[in-house]
Amino acid sequence: MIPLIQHEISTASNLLTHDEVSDVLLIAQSAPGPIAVNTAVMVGYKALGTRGALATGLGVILPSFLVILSIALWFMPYTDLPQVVSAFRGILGLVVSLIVFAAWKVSLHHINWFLVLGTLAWLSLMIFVQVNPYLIVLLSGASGLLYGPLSRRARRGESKE
Amino acid sequence: MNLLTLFLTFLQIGAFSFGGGYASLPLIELEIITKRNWLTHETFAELLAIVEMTPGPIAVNTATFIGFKVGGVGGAALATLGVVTVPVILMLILATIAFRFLKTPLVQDLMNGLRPGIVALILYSAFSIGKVALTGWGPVIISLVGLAILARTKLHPAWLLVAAAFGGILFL
Repeated sequence: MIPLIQHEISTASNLLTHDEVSDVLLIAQSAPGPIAVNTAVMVGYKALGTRGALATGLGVILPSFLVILSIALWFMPYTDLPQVVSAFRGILGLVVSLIVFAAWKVSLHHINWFLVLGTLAWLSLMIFVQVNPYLIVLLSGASGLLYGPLSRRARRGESKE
Repeated sequence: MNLLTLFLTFLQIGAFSFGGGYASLPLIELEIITKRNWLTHETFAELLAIVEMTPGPIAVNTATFIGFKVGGVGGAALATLGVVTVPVILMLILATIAFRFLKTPLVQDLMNGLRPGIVALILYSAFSIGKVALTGWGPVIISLVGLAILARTKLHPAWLLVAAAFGGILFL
């Protein structure tokens, strides 16, 4: 979706420059919340202030809201049909691979020991000790605040010797 | 059903949903299935299958769907509003602060620390959905073939989803 946003916002409509879009995307991905919604709100705000943010926010949420509502209202009664059940079994098999692939894409440019060991540690805590996912968010964030200064100090120590 | 509880639940989920839709699924699972018994694992998986087939942000779609299941159209609106409230407010605040703030070591350290946590949350979603989805060889094969195609080609996932649905109808 990111190339789509880049194209629509900076190339097709000149709402923001290419560099501004890159900054917006960086913030949208770092903050909590759906990336598409975050991006839309920030682009709207940069272009037209609070009213712009309201417009782009509604613009990105409303279509999916209405689609899901229509499906829930008119399609859900048919989910017990044998063909639908079979289709769902196929789709869900693929959903698992889509999720694993998403994890791979997040890691792709950042693979190092900290990421690999950290991921294994947090995942084991969730699977084997049923640690609450909120706690994983808090603890992993805190681990970064500890690890960053420590690794910088270690590097400074090395360069002195 | 208390609509206020529904709103507050998704408000909380939205505030902690770092790293996109899949990373927030364990939060949704904990709140909706484990704590409040609003859905079963099977209904949750079914709902996720529909969400995948629908365009739009996963967290928003999931919130709309669960909100509808729990409290009708009003519930859908409140859950959707809840999941985006904190992120939207945060965006408006961050938009007024200089972008340079993001490049400070403090924020960089925080993001570096969060990354393994986010990857673990996403993989946990795969594990949790996998327990419901990978029943028998059929779905396992679809999953493995799908992963191979995703890794090797740039085919849009929508086509794979359509193929998986037809595969399911024909063989499962």
